[in-house]
Amino acid sequence: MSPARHAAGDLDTPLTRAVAAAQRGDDAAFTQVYRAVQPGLLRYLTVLVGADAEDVASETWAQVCRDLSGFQGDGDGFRAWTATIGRHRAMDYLRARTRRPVAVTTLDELMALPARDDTAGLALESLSTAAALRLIAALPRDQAEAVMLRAVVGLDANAAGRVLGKRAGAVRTAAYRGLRRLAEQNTGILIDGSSDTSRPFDAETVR
Amino acid sequence: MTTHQARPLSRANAEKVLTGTASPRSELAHIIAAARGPADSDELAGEAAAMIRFQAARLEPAAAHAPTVPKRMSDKLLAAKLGIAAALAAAATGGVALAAAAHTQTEPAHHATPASTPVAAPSHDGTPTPKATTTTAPPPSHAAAASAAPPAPAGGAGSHPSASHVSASHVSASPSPALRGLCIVYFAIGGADGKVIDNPAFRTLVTAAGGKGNITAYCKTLLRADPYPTGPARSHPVGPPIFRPRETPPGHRRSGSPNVPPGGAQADQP
Repeated sequence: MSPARHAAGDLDTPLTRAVAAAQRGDDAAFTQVYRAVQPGLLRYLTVLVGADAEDVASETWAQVCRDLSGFQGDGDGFRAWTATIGRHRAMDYLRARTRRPVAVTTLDELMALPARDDTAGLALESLSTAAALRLIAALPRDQAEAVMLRAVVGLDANAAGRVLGKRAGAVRTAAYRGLRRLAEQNTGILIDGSSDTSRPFDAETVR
Repeated sequence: MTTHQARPLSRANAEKVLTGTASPRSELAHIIAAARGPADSDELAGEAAAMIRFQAARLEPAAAHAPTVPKRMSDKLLAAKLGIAAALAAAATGGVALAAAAHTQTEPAHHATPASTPVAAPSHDGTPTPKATTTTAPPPSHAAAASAAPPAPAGGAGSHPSASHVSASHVSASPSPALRGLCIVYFAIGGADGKVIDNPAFRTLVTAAGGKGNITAYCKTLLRADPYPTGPARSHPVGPPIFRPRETPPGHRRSGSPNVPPGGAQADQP
């Protein structure tokens, strides 16, 4: 609960209001809610299920719309609620998918995707959202989920814990480990060398 | 490999990274910033379909108040319809993503106040108090996503026609996935018999199909021919599925349990 985060809390008020208005049947408010929530939700689901996240998100919204009148809470609560529903739908999806053969992807294969051929290293300058999600998705799942719920969906540790059925402390630890691993795996690939260490950037160390 | 060493991440810095308040100078902060980057219009391709669901739910309060007191249509009938839609979609896509639709219906409503929210005063039923205390903020990207949503500048005007218009214009921006979504919804609501089809949000589909009477055939063709469109909505280069779903993940209880506690999120106890 950093001061900055707290101070920025007002930003969520429009979502709180929009959710309330959508519950009263306001189309424009629903559009606003959708646009505020969908990107983070879809990215979280992408980390969970991969390319079919779009379909899972669609199922999630179907349920959100159906149950919207019963929702109680503010904008943050709504994000957590949709994430919970999305997670259930994603788990259903993953369960169903076990009946089909699934290509196993190794970390190396993942890292070997695009970007490799056009640069010597990975230019974090221009790191796309999708590439960043891929890096996060390569983390152990509990860590990936904790990072996504907190950093991208925008939940605090308590709310993320409720989505995951864990204590806030466990979420903090998982997110912390995830970030640390992410940092370790990607150290030194910043092309312009502006990392947070005091060492000068050495081009030869970049693959 | 590299010899470039980063300082070990402290807990305090991790919190800053997670909340988007860290210095943007580390690789880690770059990655997280990219992950929460501004919304892409492709990510909102499902907007029109979601709007139709929203409006359909309003027209079918029975569905919204599941599982009790079906009003216009019995739950069973609705479930059957959704089941058909799901089967159709699953057949069309060769996938299973939509198979969940059928049993989604049987799931109890999540009257969830993910209790993070110290809800100020839910004194009257179902209407949350807008001034509920908000102690946490969304990362900046959310604000951006909310206000600077790419596709339709006409956004927050507030009137229904404009909202529909927004959806429609968005559809034309990325036709394939949006039309596909509209088709799925079209089948989910039982085809042109539903009055929802008269909703302006369906206009794009009616136009694309060449009239209400052609929608069924049009959608069948579309879903069959284009089960996994490679269009914009699918273009996120996210790579193949990451997690091996070899087991039911711990902590996920079979959905459909009637005992979802008031803080529905807790249904996921390990």
